[in-house]
Amino acid sequence: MSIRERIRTFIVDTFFVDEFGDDDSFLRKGLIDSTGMMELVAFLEQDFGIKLEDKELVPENLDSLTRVVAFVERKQQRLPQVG
Amino acid sequence: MTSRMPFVRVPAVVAQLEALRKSVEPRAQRAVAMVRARWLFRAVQSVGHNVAAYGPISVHNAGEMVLGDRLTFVGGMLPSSLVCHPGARLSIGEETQFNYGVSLEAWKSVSVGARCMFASFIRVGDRDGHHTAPIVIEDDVWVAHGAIIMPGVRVGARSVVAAGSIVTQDVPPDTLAMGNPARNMSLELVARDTGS
Repeated sequence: MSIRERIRTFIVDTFFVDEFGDDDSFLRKGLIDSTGMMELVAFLEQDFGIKLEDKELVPENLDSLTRVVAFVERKQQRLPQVG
Repeated sequence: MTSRMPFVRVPAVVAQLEALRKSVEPRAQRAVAMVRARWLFRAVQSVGHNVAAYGPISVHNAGEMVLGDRLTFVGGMLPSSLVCHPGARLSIGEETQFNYGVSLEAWKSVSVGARCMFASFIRVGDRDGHHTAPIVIEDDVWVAHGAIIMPGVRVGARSVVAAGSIVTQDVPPDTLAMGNPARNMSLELVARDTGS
């Protein structure tokens, strides 16, 4: 399963959302609230073995599936992060 | 028939009296709360104007306590507690509001900014048994129910501390602190209106 599919499955199973686009804003679409965002962060850290710094918890990194996937890929390649 | 006319207007009079009561009652309660605050904070060196206590508060001031204008302390199932030990300083900025059961304790320095909102059962103390370090809570901070702010922490302006969080490290401005130990995330990530 690709990174995108793993994260999408987690979001659908955890937050009981049906259809959402890869570029939909979690915040503006009301898909994930603040507690949910903490769950997403914990999921990313556990399942992908990465450590998110507090300063990385910004919309540029986490506010859509596309952004999360890109962020995780950058993180796994240890490239410079936004924020 | 004419003698019964006045009775026709009774509901209108009742409605007027009800409206009058609704407009006067909050102001009367505020006035009583201000008198209570004046009594409760009699040992405080500097108390601002229009400080109101709607319920009991436990106040022990052996240091320097400075309270700003228009503070509100809400009453409830447990009194709030303000403690300032000898040589310590406890200051609260204007228009800050406290729900019941809030515990503020200063051994060295606790500073709360203006327009902050404190929910019920919050603990802010600058000594934890191991060390003492000043706490600073900047302006417009919202602390939710049951949060604990640990010694040495600075909470930045306009930030939010989530319910039940234990804040062990500094919180930048416009940030949501959540969890135990609290992690900081940008408010832009989780709030449509950050208030900034």
